[in-house]
Amino acid sequence: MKRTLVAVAILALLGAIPASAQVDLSTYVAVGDSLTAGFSSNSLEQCYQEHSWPAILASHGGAADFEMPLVSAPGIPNILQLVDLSLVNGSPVPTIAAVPGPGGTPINATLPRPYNNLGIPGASVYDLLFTTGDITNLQAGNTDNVMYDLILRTPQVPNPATGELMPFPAVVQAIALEPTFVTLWAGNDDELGAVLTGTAIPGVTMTPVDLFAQLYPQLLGALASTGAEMMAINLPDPTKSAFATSVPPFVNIPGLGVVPLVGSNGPLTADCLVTLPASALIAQGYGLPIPGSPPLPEDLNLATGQPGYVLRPEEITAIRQQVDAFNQVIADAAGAVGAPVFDAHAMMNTLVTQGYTFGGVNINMDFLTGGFIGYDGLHPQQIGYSLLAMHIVDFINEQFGADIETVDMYPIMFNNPCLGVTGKGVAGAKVNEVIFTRAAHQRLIDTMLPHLKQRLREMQAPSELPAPQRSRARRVPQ
Amino acid sequence: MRQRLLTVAAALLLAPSLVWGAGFALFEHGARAMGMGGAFTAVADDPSALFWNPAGIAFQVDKGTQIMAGATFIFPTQDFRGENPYPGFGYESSQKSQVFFPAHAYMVAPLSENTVFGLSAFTPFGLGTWWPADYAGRFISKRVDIKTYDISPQLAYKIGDSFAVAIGADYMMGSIDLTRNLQNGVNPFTQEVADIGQVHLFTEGSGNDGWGWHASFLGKLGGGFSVGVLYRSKIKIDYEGKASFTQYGTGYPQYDALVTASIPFDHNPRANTSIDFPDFWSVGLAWTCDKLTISGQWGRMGWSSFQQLPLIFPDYPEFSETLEEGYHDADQYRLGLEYRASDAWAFQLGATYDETPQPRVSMSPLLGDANRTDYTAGVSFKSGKLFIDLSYMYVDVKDRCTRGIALVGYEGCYVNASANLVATSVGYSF
Repeated sequence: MKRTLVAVAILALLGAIPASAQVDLSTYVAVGDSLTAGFSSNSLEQCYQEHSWPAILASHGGAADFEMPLVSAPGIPNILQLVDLSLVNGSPVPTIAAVPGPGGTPINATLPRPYNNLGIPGASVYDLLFTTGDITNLQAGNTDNVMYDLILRTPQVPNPATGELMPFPAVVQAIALEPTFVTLWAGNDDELGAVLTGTAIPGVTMTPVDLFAQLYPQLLGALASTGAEMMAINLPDPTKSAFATSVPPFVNIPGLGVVPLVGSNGPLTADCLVTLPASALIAQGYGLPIPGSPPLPEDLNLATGQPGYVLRPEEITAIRQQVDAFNQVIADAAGAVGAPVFDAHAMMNTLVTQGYTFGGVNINMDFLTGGFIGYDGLHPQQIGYSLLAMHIVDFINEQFGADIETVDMYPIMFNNPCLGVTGKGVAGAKVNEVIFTRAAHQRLIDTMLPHLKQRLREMQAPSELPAPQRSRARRVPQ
Repeated sequence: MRQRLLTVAAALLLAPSLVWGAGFALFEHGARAMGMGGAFTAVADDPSALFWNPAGIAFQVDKGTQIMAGATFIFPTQDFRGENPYPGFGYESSQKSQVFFPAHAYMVAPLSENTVFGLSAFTPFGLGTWWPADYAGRFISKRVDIKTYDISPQLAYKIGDSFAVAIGADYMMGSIDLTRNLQNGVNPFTQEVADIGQVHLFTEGSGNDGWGWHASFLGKLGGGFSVGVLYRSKIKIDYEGKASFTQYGTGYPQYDALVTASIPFDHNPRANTSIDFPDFWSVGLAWTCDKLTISGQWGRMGWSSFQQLPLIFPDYPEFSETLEEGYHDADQYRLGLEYRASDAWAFQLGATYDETPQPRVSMSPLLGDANRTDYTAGVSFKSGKLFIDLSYMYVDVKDRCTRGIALVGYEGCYVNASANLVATSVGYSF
C-alpha cells in the first residue's frame, strides 16, 4: 500500500515536470518568400501550399490553425505542366506550358487575422519589412501587386498604442500573431534576379550587400522581439539551380558537330551558364554559330527590361560572392539573437553533387526527373518540399532538443497528391503558352521580381547606372 | 562407381544455397558437426573433417575409404519494419518463403599408414533473400541468390601417433543472380517515382571461379584432450555475367519512349562483378572420454575483405555502380557435446554465437544481418559400415535497426529473423 502511494507520488511528480526540451509550435509563423509560400512550377496553388515545408512542419509540430493564403487550382499564375516530351535527334525536348483557362482565386481571403504562412513570392528582405498589400486591389482585377494583395490583404491597421493608422507589412503581421515559433527564410529574392535576368548588377538585379546587412538584422530583430523561438534559413546558390544549369552552352549542329553558342558578347565558353528559358530561343535559331542567326541576348536590357540568358564566369562568381556575403549576414544576425540557422546552402550543394537517396531512389537537382525541382527549374515540387520539411524537422529536433514527428518520404515519392492540379500530363492538351518563350519568361520575372521595372524606370540618368559586375570583353572559345 | 557418386554429388550441389551464417558464410557441411554446434575443429573424426579440420582424416586410416554425402535444409524467415524517412513507420514487409538445401560430399581415402587423401565438395558461401515484388525496397533488390561451390583435394599426414597436418587446394566456382526494379528518378509528367522496368543480373556457365588453399593441424594432447587449428585462405572470384532488362509501361507513352531509347532492352549487355570471400581461422579444444566429447571453438571470418560489391557494365558505364559493404572481421564461438550411448547410437548438442560482420550502414534488403545464436541437437546411427547422421539447428537472429544511417536510404528494423535447419548425412566405409 505504502509502496503504491510512493509510486503514485512519483508518477504525479513526473507528470508535473513540463516537457522541458520541447519547442512550442502552437502559434507558428513562417516568414519568407516563394520558398516559404510553397510556390511551385511558377504558381501559388492550394495543393502545393498544403504540401509546403511550413505546412508539414506545422502539422507535425502540432500547430493550431496554421492558416495559409490558399489559392484554388490552377493557382496564381496558372501552374505549369509538362504537355509534351518528344525525342528530337535522340534528345528529349520538353514542352512546358501553363495550365490553360481562368486562373485560380483566393479561397481563404476572409480570414480575419494575418496568415501563419507569410511567405510572399518575390519578396526581398526590404519587401518583408515595408511592402504592403490590399486585397481590394486584387478583387478589382488589378494584378500589379498580386502576391502582396493576396497575402497581406490589409495595407494599414490602427496602432494599438496610439490608434493612428500604420502600415501592415509582413513583419508587422507576423508580430501581430504573437507567435511562439518563427521561421525566417528571406533573402533569396535579393539575389535571384541576377539568375532570372542573366545579369548581376547590385542595385538592379541584386540587393547591395551593405543594404542587405542593414535590413536583414532589422527584420530578424523585429521578429525576435516577439520572444518567440526562432530559426533562420540561409540562402542556396541560385547558379546551381536547374534553371541555371539545364541548358548547355553549346549545341550539336548536324554537319558542324558540337559548337559553342554565340551570345551578344561573343561565343560562350564551357564555364558559362545558359538559363532554362534560352532553350526556346535556341529552338527559334538564336545563338547558333551560323550566318543569319541572331546572338543569344546575354544581359538585361536596361532600357526595355528584356532579360538576358547567359551568366559568364565573372557573373557567376559575383553572384556566389553575393550569396556568401548574404549568408554571413544571416549567420551573424541569427547568432546575435540566438537563432540557429538551417544550412539550405549546403543542402542545395548536396542536391547538386550527390542527391539524397531513399530506398535506392536518388532525389537530386536534375530538371524534370530529379524529383526535387518543379517545372520552373527554381522551386521545389511536392517531393522537394517534403525533403526540405524532413531536414528542417530533423534540424529543429536537434537544435531545440524537440521531438517533432519526423517526415516519411515514402508516400509522397510514389503518390503525387497534386497530380490533378498539373493536369496529369495531358499530352495533346491545348498548349496556349509554351513556357520560356519571352512572354512566359517575363511572367516569371514579373512574379519573382515585381520591382524590377520600377527600378529600371528610376534609373533615368546614365550617371546613376551602377557599374556592371563583369568585363564586357569578347571571349574567344579555346 | 566413384565417378557416378561424384556425378550425384555434383547434381546435389547445383541446388540453391543460401546464407545462413553471419554475413553469408555457411558452416553446415555435415549433420553430426552441425549437431555439435560446429565445434568440430578439435574433433574432426568423420569425413566432414574435410571442412572443419582436414588433418582429422589422418586419424581415420583405420576406417578405410569413406564416402559421406548429405544436405542441409534451411527454412529462413525475416520481417522488416520501416522507419522514417523511408519507407516510414508503419511499413512492414516479410521475406518470401524459401527453402535452401546446400549439399556436401566427401571422400576420404588412405594412401598409406600416415597419409590420407581427401576430396570434398560443399557450398561455403551463399546468400538468398527474396522480398515481395512490389515492396518499398524493390529498387535496391527484389531477389538475390549468390552461390558458391568449393571442390577441394587435400592431403593429410600424421606425424607420430599424436599430431597430424593437412593442406589442400580450394577451387571455388560461383554464381550470382540479382533482380531489382529500375527507376530513373521521377516520371516527368507525374513527378512521381516510376517503375520503368526490371534488371536481372546473372552469371552463366563456367569461368566464374577462383583458387584458394587451406591448412590445418590436429594434435592429441593426452588425457583425452585434443587441439585443432584451421586456416582457410581468402578466395577472390571475378564474375562475368549478363544483364537482362525488361521495360514496364508507365502509362505515359512519351516517357516510355525515352526510357526505351536509353536502356538496352533489346539485348543483354555484359555485367561484371567481383567478391573477395573472407579467410577463416578456427581454433578448437576438445576433451574426449569413453562416452563423452566436449568441444569448444573460436573462429574468425576475415570479412574485412568484403568492402565493396562493384556492378560493372563495360559497355554501359552509366549503369555501373559500387555498393559499399564495409564489412569487418567477425568472431564466432562454438560449444558442442556428444554422448555415445552405444556402439550404434550417439547424440549431439551444441550452441553457437556468431557475430555479424555487417556494419549498420550497409544493412539493406540485399542482406540485413545481425548477431545470431544457434542451438543444435543431433543423433547418429551406425550399423556396420553405414552411418547416418541427422541434426537440427534453430538460428535466432537478433533484431537490428539501421538507425537512420543506411547507405541505400532504406531505414528500419530487420526483425523476427530466424531459421530452422535440418541436416542429414549418410556415410559408408569400404
